[in-house]
Amino acid sequence: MSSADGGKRPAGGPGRSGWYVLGVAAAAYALTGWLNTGLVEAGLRHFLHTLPRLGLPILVMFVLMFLFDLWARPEQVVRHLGAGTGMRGWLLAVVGGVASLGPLYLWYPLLGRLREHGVRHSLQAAFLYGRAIRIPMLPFMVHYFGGAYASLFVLNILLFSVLSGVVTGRMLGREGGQKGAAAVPPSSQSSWISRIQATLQALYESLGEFAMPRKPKYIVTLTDEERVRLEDLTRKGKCAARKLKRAPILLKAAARWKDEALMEALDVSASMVDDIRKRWVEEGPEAALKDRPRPGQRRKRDDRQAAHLSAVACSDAPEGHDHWTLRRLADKVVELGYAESFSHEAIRPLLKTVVLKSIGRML
Amino acid sequence: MTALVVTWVTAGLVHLPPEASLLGWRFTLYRTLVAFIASLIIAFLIPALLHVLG
Repeated sequence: MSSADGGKRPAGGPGRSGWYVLGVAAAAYALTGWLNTGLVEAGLRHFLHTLPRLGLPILVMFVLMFLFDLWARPEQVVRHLGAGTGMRGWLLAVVGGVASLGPLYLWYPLLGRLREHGVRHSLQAAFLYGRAIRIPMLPFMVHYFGGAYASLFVLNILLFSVLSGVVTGRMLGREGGQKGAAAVPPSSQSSWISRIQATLQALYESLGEFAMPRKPKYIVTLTDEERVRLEDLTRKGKCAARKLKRAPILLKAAARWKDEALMEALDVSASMVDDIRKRWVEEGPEAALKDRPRPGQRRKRDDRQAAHLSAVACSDAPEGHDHWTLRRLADKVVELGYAESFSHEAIRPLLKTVVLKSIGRML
Repeated sequence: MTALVVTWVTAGLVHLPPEASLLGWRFTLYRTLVAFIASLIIAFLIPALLHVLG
């Protein structure tokens, strides 16, 4: 399986890198033993003393992983912790991090398994940060440092769990429930600037999820036929890029995805989601899948006028002149009644089009 | 003291290899860097808030 890091990572475990870690640890022990045998002996005694205490957390972790593998299905995991989750996913991650017991490294295998099932990087980072709150330690913290300090500590960790999750997720690029989604490398300064902008935007949106979740005004519903058509558009990918971008929005909106999750998963703006929802409800499928007409003036000159202009330009120049100028052409076109008015500046692009088309036909 | 407590749990160097082997190096490095910076911010924030709250 390809991890979001772009590296290969086998499903269900650390693979070769796990052996590297073990090798490095063994080498560190060997080197220390060579330099100071007594230190290694003390370290091993401490290890043997600690091992029985680790037995229960390790057992709990194996049971959890066994139950997870037994019951959890990827689609269920994605529904609760993947791209389709909003505030619920963050709450699960942070509360899970606070409630998680035992040493941190015991949780890595389970987190790795969750990632393979589509859990977002940002939620994993939030989980790991939330572990800074150790519930059994809170009474001691209150006793030694006071209730105010302990309260502020807990509040700050909760807040920064979400913030660090958002920032980490954004640093890794598009992520979340989309297996194999490649992270975009920071190849230039401009990409870093856009990454920072996107991070700030994500922070704003994530805080918004807690403060006031967006409630869509227009509810998208699909018939079976419409759903099949949109799924076909998305799957086959043989249509205009704009339709390809809109079809998944409609599918997810119809599946009752929250706007925040939809925007994050598909990397689209709130205004685009609103616009597509509105147009689906008010104007129907075709309008929702297409762009709105572009603002600005309509084209003044059509192909017919271009053809007339071409004919005039190819005819003999007026008497007393050896060639056509733009002004003369404009006057002639008006004089012949092909247009009510014609600016000489409008002639130039029109002639260019005519010439290019002629070259194209010749080729 | 706050910085010590928070970084101890969230940004430990000892945990880097096992975390990276299971969750990926990029994720681990980015997460640790962000956690470290966040810990520094919290370390400044909590005393400041305590001072403000009296």
